[in-house]
Amino acid sequence: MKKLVEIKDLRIENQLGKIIDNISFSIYEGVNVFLCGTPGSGKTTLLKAIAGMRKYKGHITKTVPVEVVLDSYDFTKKTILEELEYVRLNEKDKKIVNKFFTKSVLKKNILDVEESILKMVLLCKAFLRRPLVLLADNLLSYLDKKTVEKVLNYTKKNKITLVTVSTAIEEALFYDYMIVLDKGRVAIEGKTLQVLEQEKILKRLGIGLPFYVDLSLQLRLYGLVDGIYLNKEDLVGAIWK
Amino acid sequence: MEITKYVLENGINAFQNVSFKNTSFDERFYMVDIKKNYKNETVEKYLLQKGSCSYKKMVDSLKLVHLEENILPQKMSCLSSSEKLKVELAILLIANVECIVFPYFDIYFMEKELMFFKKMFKKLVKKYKKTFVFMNSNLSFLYEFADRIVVQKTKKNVVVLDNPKFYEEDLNAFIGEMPIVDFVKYTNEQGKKILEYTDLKELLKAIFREV
Repeated sequence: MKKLVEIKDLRIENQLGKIIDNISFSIYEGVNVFLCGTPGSGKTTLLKAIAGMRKYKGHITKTVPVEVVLDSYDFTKKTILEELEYVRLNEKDKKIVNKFFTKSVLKKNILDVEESILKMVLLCKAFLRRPLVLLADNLLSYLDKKTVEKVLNYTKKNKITLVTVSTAIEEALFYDYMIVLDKGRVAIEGKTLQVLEQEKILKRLGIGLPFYVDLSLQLRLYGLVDGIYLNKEDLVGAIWK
Repeated sequence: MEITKYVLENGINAFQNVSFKNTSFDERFYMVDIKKNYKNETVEKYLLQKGSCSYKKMVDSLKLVHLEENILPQKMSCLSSSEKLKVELAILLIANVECIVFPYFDIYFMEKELMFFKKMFKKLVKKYKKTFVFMNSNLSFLYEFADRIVVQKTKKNVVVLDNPKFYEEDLNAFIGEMPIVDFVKYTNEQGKKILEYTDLKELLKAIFREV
């Protein structure tokens, strides 16, 4: 697996003390990362540092183009069409935009559209810069199920590795690798399911479990199933086999 | 203001416009928007901008939302999303706002903190008669936090879930079902008899009985 980004001994401080306290991990091609943690544990700060928007001590090595989508807006234009500079785009880029927006939505005033569309504008702007790693703060939380699938399909097809910060634990199942931060340090990391099985540690950190993982773990405790099942079909099949 | 009536008449997205029109705390209606540009103001300056209050009241309000006094000299723009939201909540406790609108409140907090806020909101509703409106597409969160859920299926098709009737409405095409509802519906389709639970412990007991 190709290493795309390497973070080594990363430290970030502010007037109140350490925000990131000696963090090291790597981002590999095709391994999407779900980054979660306790409030104020440094999740967004970590994304900003990787994106080069925050000063840090330690080493961050990037071998491919990296883009970041933060959970804030700073739009300067009136319509989505103008914000994406649609008329100046080449045909390939227009195709990308058309995948995510209908013509009528593109013409809408930025102030009149809902949060999910604003988030898609940011996401689309990032896609147009052709990243191979996309760092995103609360990427999927605003989007409906269909749009989430569309975004994930697009990133997979275009070999974009996702690193998402989120508190929505149900989303964790979309990702291959999971990192849990607590007080600026890595509390647990590993393959997503392996991390989610660390129920006690997660509970101590105030982090819940996705519904199907939670239900599977409890049913396993009573000997009703022998594994973790991530959808209704598999779980019902395992309970009443 | 009768919130449900307002939503039925204006649509859920009308709240978006409220945030742009109502920037004053004289209004009874306030939408919390932590994505705005906080410029360089410190937490203390930001709190004082929204109305005069004593230093003690400021600190007490911060403590109520789990923030310490040492956050006061920090710049608003440097705070984490959850800290910004807590500062906004502290302001709302100081100011006399009748109805507070939160877009996507749940995305800033993990489970433990959400449960803390759930208790706090209940207290504020009961003791100070505040009304909270959560704009959200996460039904599991709304189930925990809201007494009444209004689902806007299309511009003209709005469903009010009083005393939430999650099993009666097919919400899958609009905002998705709660995972527990989706699971129980599927289980019953497969010929098993599980009652319409919304609590995981009850569901576990029911599965145990049915196996």
